[in-house]
Amino acid sequence: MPRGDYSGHLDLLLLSALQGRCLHGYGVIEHVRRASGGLFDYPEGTVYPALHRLEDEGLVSSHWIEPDGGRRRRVYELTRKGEKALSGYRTSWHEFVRSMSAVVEEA
Amino acid sequence: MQDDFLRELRPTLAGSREARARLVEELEAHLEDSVACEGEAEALARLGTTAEIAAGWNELQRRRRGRTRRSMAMVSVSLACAIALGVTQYAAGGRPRTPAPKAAKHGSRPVGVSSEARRIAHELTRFSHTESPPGFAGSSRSW
Repeated sequence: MPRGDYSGHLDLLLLSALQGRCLHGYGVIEHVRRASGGLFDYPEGTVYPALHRLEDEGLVSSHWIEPDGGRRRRVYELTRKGEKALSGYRTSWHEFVRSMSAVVEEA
Repeated sequence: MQDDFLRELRPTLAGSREARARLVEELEAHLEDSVACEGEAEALARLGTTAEIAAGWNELQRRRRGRTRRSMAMVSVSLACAIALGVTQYAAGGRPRTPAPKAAKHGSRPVGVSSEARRIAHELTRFSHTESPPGFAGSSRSW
């Protein structure tokens, strides 16, 4: 799949990666890449503005953590609002996949 | 190479100093992890170009500015409405609604009482001399 064809689903991917986890940006990107078998391979730097935007929208929250002797990192987690939004996105996504499958497989 | 990349990126970023500093710090930490796993050249290639990062970031800043402007406009309109309402109420309350009472004919005018009290006193005085008080039969005046 060419890069950008799935960009409209970035929010769903990022929120899914953060469900039940507290990850820094690199962890989020790694999770998405690994879970997609390497298919979703975004320019990694562009994920940070998306995370900031989700934070502006109240869907994720973030804070700094400072590992002993290491560089501090900003970690992200889902908010309650983010969990609700994710649930809604998932429902829409499943409906979309079901409808697409129905049409494509019928053809 | 990392320093060059970040040096090139910094001036292209819009937004507040704090927001830009946070993004750059996150990218530095990201590169540290990424370089450890993949090597510097691959890490920088995966990060994207400075233009790609700046485009996403600056679009976010544009939205933030728009939101701030809308909030400021809402506050300004609310404030203007509140001031207008206050001025209107002040003007209505500070000016007697009825002509000055004809108290001089019956005695001295009340002193040191509110305009509302003066108005009531005036109305009562007027009714006692002319017609039934409001609420009584024959009075068409509403109180």
